[in-house]
Amino acid sequence: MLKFLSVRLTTSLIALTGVMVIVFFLARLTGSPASLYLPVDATDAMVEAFNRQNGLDKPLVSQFVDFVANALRLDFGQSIAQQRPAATAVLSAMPQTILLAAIAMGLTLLLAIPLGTFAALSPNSTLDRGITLFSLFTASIPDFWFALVCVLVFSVSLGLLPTSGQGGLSSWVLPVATVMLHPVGVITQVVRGAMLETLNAGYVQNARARGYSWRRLAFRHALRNAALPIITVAGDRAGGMVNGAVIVSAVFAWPGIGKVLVDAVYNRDFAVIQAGVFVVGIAVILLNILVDLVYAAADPRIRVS
Amino acid sequence: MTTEILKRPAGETSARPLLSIAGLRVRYGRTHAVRGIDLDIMPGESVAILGESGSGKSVTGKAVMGLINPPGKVAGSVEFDGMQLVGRSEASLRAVRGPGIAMVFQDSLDALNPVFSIGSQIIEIFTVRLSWSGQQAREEAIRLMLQVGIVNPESRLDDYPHQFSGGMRQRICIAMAIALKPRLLIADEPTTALDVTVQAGILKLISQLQRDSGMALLFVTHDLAVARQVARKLVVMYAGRVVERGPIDDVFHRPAHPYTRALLGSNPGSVKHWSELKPIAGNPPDKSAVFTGCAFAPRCPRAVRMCSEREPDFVTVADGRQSRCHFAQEMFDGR
Repeated sequence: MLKFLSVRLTTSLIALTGVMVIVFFLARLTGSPASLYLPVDATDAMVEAFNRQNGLDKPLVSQFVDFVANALRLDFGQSIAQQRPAATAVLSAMPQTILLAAIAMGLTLLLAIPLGTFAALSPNSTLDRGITLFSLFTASIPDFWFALVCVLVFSVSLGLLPTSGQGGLSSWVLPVATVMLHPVGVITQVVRGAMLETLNAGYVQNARARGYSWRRLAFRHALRNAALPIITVAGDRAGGMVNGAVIVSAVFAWPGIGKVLVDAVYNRDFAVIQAGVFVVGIAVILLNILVDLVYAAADPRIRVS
Repeated sequence: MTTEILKRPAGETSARPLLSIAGLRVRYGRTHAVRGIDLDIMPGESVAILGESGSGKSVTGKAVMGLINPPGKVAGSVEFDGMQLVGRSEASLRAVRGPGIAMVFQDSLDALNPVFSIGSQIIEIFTVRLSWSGQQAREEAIRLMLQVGIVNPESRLDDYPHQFSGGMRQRICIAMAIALKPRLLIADEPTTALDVTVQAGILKLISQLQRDSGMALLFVTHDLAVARQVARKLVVMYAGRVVERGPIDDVFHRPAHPYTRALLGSNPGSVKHWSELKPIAGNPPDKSAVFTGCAFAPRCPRAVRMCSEREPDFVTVADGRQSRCHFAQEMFDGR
């Protein structure tokens, strides 16, 4: 297990390095920050001074060498737009994002596992058809449209929930619902498919022959075996959630990592883009390792081999 | 959970059958798996159901347990200790499963849950069905594992099914089946997936447990030699029907149905030299077919026109011996 984890960690870090290199050069293709931050009639001397101040006057290659040298010490430089360290700008937004992702994923599983299980318990019944219709609906409707309609209905017309920002509990409702939308549909279908298979497996029939209740058969004997595909998809979706939930930042001005990254791109704030991608990358790597650990906990055959 | 009717009556000397199957039919849409069978099992009796693949023998075992899932449909009567099981609710069947009727399946790897340890699966039976404490259940699990021949059971409680050999896994399945001291054990080809040396051990174990506990045994198999090692009574099935029944050794020595005779002739153990082996010509009939006469007629060396026109009734050829053949008496007399 330790060897497996170290291999996993090494390959992930190589991938992260590759991503960082690409992001470094791609970000600089968006144009010069000087033309954004200085007035239109700025003199060449002003531009030069701005570039020197922000380390943009050196050749691209030496900028890259500096970036790598600093990044290895976890120094991602200064944010031009916010006038504070880029790492601070990113990390201060991270708790919002992780909390949103955790709540949304928790509620998603709480909803999708029973729905998928009940659908699988009576295949082709009215209940099954209803649940399948619901899950296909949530998985298919565009989330930005859903978010906007929710704002229209609940915020503008009914005035029940705030349109944007982050305040009390009510400000969480629409962002969480928007982030959950697709995962609920997709994971319900995954649970249903996996449970259909395990409910018909020999060990569940054998357990039934021992006189156990359907609850025990479904939620203990079948569900534990259906866990692997569910964990895989849930992990993938959770990765999407910590990735920023850009829709939520765009529609609800949610102060998470998504908003920080999008703002940084608009502001040609290279340091923040790089720090943001790095932090999200680390979060995804940690999430994948967590998924591997949950795998091992769920299935002893993985633990042993 | 054990209801009043499930309690073992003292002595169990009554002449009433423990299990009484009458006119049992199982079909899946147009596919007829069991086409009306009658079978009585007395308390403590050991009965083997013999038949080739698709004869309906396994489905019969599952139907008795109430384990036929939709779209499968069960009709007829299965009475266990006077209680009708067909059409009974899942909740009340649950009380019967375990202390009433228990089952051992063919594929032991498939029959055990791969993600739980063997110990937890055995212990679960006692904590769930008998509401025992964990400690008491653990001790009983160890005793059971010893009883079925697992060495060092204590050290193996935390092992998972894939860490056991096929024979050991089947022993564990047997332990779990007898955990609640069933009055009838249904064994569905329990040795088919095992090699011959291991098979002998499992058969011996089942026989011994059956004798010691006095439970009845319904042993489903395609192998007459195996059936003879565990059962006293034989029921031969063909195309979802019982074609012959009687004491197993009598049937073995003097079959009264052409199908039984053909089965014996195709069994390598029953001939001196392989060149004497006689395979049964043709294939088992299509399960969606509708018969007007005897289902075996198309493959039967003795068949005459009457055989495909009218289905024979059971003919009693001797005490306790019955055969569903127009020529039962002739067959029995060796003609």
